[in-house]
Amino acid sequence: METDSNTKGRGFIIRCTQEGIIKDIIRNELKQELPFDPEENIHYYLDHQSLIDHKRFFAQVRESGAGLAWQLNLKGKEETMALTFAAVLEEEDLLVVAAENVDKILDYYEDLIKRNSPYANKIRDIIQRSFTRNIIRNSGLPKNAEIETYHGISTINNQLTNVQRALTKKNIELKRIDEQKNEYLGMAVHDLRNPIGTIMGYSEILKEEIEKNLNDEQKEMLDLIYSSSEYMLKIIDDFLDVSKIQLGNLKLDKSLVNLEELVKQNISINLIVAQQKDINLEYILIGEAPVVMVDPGKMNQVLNNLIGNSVKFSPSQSSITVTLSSDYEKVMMEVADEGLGISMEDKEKIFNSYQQAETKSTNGEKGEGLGLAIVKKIIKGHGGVIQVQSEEGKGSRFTVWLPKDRRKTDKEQDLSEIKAMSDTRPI
Amino acid sequence: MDIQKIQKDYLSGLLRGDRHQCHLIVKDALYEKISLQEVYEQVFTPSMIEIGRLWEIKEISIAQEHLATAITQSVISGFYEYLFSNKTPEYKGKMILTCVGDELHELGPRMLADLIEMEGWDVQYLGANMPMDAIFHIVMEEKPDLVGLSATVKENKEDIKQLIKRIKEEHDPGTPIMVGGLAYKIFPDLYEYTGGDFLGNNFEEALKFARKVEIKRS
Repeated sequence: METDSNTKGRGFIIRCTQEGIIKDIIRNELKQELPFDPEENIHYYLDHQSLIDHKRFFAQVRESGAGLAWQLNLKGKEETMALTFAAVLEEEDLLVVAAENVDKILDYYEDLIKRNSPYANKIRDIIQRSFTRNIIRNSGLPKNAEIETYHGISTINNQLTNVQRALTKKNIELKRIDEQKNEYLGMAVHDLRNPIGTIMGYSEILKEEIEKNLNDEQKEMLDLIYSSSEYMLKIIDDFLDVSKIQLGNLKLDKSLVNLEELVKQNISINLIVAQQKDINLEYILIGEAPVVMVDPGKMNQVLNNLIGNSVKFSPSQSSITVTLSSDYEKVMMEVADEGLGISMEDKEKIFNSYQQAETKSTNGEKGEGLGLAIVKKIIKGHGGVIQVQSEEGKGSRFTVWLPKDRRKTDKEQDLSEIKAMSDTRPI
Repeated sequence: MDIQKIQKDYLSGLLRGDRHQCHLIVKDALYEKISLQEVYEQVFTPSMIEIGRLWEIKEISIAQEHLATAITQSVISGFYEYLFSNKTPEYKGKMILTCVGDELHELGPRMLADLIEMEGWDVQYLGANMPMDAIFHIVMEEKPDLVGLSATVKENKEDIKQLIKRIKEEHDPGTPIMVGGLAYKIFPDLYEYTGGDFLGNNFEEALKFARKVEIKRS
C-alpha cells in the first residue's frame, strides 16, 4: 500500500493510473485539517449530452487534457468516497483528501442529490506527491433524472501563481537585457559613423580632384571605395534608426503632408534603378490626393523602403504599381510587384529586425534586413498597420493603412498603458 | 485619492466576491499614482486581516474567506508586469522567501516577496506547503544572501527551528535568516524557540532589515 510520508491523520489516498482506473484507496492518517469550500467556483466543462455515453465521456476528458475525470456512486457514505476516480494523470501520482474534509464533501454531495442539480466547486489543498499543493476545480452533472451517479472532470492548479510570477520576472529581465543590447549596439554603430563619413567624404574629393589623372582600374577602385562607404553609411543609419526605435525613441515630427507629392518623389528616386533593370514603375491615384498629419521624413523612409524593395526583388520586364487612395477615415498606400514573392514561412519574419527572407535580389543588391522592421515601427508609430500578401514566384503586395488623424492625448495614452499592463491575467 | 476609501471599497469587493471590481480598484489606485507598496500595505493587508477577523467571528464562511484570498492573489498576479518593470534597477542581492512545512497561509509572505523585489532584490518565492528538506536543498543550491521564513500557525515551529539550524550548521552560518508572520505575533516565545537573526513584525521592519543586509558575493 502506498502512503505519503508527509501525512498523518485519517484520510484518503487515491492512486491513479493512466488507464483511468483507481488502484488503491487507502485510509491514512493526516496531520492537520485541510479546508474545503464547496461554495467556491465555477466551471462547467461538459454539457449534458457529452455525459450520456460513458466511454465517449472519458475519451473526451483525455482529449481535453483535463486533470482527471471521476464518477461518483451515491449509494452510501462509505462507498460514496470509494470514488471511481478515473485519472488521466501521470502514473504514480497520488491525491490525498484530508479526513476532516470527507464528511463535508459527503454532506455536500448529499445536498446535491436532493437538489438534483449540476454543480461546480473547488477543492483546495489536495496534496499530490510530485507537487506541494494543488487546487482541484471540480464540476459534475447528473447522469439521469434519478441520479445514480455523478460524473465530473477536474483541473488541477499547481501553484500557478508562483509559476506566473517567475515567468513574468524572467520576461521583464529578458526585455531589459534586450534594451541594453540595443543601447550598446546603438553606441557602437554611432561611433562607426564618423570614420566612415570621413572615408566617404575624402573619396568623393579624390574622385572630383584627381580622377582625370587615374587609369581605368584606379578609377574603378576609387568608385568602389566611394560606393562601399556609401553603402556602409546607409547600413549604419538603418541600425541607428532601429536602435532608436527599439529604445522607444521614435520621435515623430508631424505636419500636414500631401502624400501624392511624397509618393511621386519616391517614384522618381527609384525610377533610375527601375529603368536600368527594365522594370515598369506605375503610379495610380484613386480619388483625391490625401493630405494627412504624418512625419514627412519618416513616411519618405517607408515609401523608399517599400518601392526600393520591390525594385530590388523584381525581374526585368515586370511591373511595379504604387497605388494611393483614401476615404473619410483612412489612407491606403500600396506597392505591388510581380517579383520573386515571399514564402509563407518568411512572411512571419520579414518585419522583425535583422531577419531577411530567403529570397535573393534580382541584381545582387544587398540589404541588412532592417528596412521592413523600420517601416513597421514607423507605421505603427503613426497608428497605422502594414499588411503583406504574397505568393512565391508571383509577386508581393504591401499595403499600408494610415488613419487620417488620430493623435491621442497624453491622458489617453497613460490610460491605455495602465490598461495594457493590468490586462495580464494569471495563466 | 483617499487610500482608506480605496481599502474600504476593496474590502467590500472581496466580501461580494467581485474579482473584477477588486482588480479595477487597484488599477485606478495605481493610475492615481498610489504606489504598489501602499496598495500592499494599506489596501490588501488590512482587508485580509479584516476578512480573517470576520471569519473568526463567523460573520463570513470559510468559503468566502478562501474566495477573498483567491481574489487578492489574482489581483496581485495581474500587476506582476507592472511590479517587475518598476523595480529598482540596482541589484541588492538574492533572497529566498517561503512558508515552512505544511503552512498554507502564503499571502503575507507573497506580498513581502514583491515589496522586497521592488527594492532591487531577486526574490525567489517558494510559497506554501514547502517541505523543510526541499527548502534546505534550494538554499544550498541558490546560495541566497538572505532567507525569509514565514509562519502563520505555530504547528511548524519544529520544522522552522531545524531548518534554521541546518542552514547555519550545514550551509553557511553567515546567511542571515529573517522570520515573521502571525504566529510570531501571537506567540512571543516563538522567536526564541525557532531562532533566526531577525524578527520582522511587519513589512516595514522586514524591508529595513533587508536594506541592511550586506551582500557577500558580487
